[in-house]
Amino acid sequence: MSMCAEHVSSKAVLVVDDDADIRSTVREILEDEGYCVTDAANGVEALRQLRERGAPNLILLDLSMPVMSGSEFRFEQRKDPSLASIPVVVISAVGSLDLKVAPLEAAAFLRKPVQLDELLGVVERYCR
Amino acid sequence: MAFKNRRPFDIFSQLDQAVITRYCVASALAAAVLLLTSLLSNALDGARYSPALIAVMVSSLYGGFGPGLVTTLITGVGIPTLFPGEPLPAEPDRPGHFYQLTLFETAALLVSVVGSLARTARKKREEGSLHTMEDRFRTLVGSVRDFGIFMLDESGRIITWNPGAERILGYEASEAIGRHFSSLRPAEDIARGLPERALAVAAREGRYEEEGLRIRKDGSSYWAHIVITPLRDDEGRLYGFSKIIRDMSGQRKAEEERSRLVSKLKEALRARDEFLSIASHEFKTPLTTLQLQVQSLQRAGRESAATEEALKEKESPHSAIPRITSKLAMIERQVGRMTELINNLLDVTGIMAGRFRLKIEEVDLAAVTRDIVARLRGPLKDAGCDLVLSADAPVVGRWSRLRVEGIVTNLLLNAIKYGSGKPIEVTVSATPTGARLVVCDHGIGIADGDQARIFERYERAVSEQYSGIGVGLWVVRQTVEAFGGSVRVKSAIGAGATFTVDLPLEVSGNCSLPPPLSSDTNRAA
Repeated sequence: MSMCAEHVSSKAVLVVDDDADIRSTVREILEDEGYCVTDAANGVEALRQLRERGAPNLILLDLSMPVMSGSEFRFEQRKDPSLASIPVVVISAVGSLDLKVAPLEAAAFLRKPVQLDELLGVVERYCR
Repeated sequence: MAFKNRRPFDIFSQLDQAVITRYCVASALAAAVLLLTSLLSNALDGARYSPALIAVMVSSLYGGFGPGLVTTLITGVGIPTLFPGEPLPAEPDRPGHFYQLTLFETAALLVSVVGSLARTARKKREEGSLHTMEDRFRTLVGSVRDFGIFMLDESGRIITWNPGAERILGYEASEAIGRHFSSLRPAEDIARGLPERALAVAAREGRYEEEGLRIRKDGSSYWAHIVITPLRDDEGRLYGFSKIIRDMSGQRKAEEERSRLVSKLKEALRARDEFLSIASHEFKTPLTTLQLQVQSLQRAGRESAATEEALKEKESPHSAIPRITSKLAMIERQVGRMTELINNLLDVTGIMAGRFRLKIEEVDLAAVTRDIVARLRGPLKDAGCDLVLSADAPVVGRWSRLRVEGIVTNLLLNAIKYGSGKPIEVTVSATPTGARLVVCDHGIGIADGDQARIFERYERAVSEQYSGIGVGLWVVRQTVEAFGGSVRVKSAIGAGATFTVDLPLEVSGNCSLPPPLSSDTNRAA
């Protein structure tokens, strides 16, 4: 699926979202901008990829996902010293997002539906 | 009186006392007459028995024949004793003593008889009316069928029973009278000593009232409302209790049915809000893809257009790219509208469910307003509205950025929708107590009677010609009030509307929006 076998590029991004269309759309957009993008459909898959391929520059994380939610993923990620420092940008449709997002200590928050400029801006900021 | 608290068996002793009193009065009257006659003997002369005769009349009227006779005897003996030696027989014009005495006693006997007859007649009249009152009271209690009314003796044994009690409990009077009232209660209540406790409370506090399950004769249960009142005599001694029972089963069933329907209704409302919340949330997933794809295409279109511009359109003078770009812009605007609608729906369900907590941070109201105005350039252009923005100086306060954006967006969209394509003025300024946002349009305006209503949920001043679900201004009001601020509108039909939001710079306490249960009628904006 991914053009990046490993997260070795300086512009590596991991997209975690259970919606396949969102994953492929974000991946296409970012790949067009020259980023190396991998994706995962839930928190478990994301953790496995991180441990197999190393740390990307940025994780774009959805919150509501089956198997392992974004919040659970974030909890596991912060427990693992090798992964804890990767910045995470939460992308969610959660309405009362302030309440759920604050404890995640995310680098940034994007509210669905995401504006293209906002997405590119935030990815660029963390993948310099 | 018949209803006076009186120990029933004291009546004889009271009668005894009355008899003694009557005879005492008769004797006293006689003594008074003797005293009077001796004092006025000269003046009375031949009429010395006149006061005695009056006394006999009073005695017999008051006490009956016996007391009249006593007065007659005392005065008949006393007066000749006080005035002895009168000539006998009488002179023709001056009756003699013996003659007067005989005349007096004959007259006194007649007066006593007449007086006692008058007394008896009076008594009968009084007793008749007394009996009438008692009969009426008995008829009253006996005709009451909705209430069981009966009396208990001091120990709780039933001593009277009315048809209401018979109807409610199923026992006839012959079965009930003599039973202990505790037999009307479930066995476990008896085991716990509740009947005795009820009597004790009634005796101590003057009243015992409760509602509870009771058993009928046929073993069926019913919901009873019970009042027990102690009965005391004039000296305050307890001699029994009155007990009034009402069968509340029907009312209780209706109340239970009402509670069931209310909780069902609340559950249905909760389910509706939950559904709206989930649906709104789910809508955003396809919108995300749609928006990103449209914006990617627009971006690609802009890049292609720039390339073509560079080629000076030599090769493709009728390029489709500008048309495609304009169609994409329209799609993007519709995605934006859909997003606003969904956000407002989410806000409504969040507010109603009490999930609308706010993260407070430093926010520049002027900067937020500038951003929103820039974001709404498309809708402004479509509506043909020019926008005059006066928000140059920063107005920084501690609010929730997202909610402040919501306030500005909703007020601006409202002005665009109802602004009739005329200019809109937006001003952000600092006031002595906080920040002020004013959004002024020159459109259709709002009638006086509708100005309060537009801030309610699902309410709109005009509905048919204008799209929308009527939650925007309600969300504005809820948010502004959560920040401790206020929103008001000044408007007239055809003269546009000016919305003024005042916010304090600092929100006190844990800022959250409680569900507005007071507007349960769900008429809101």
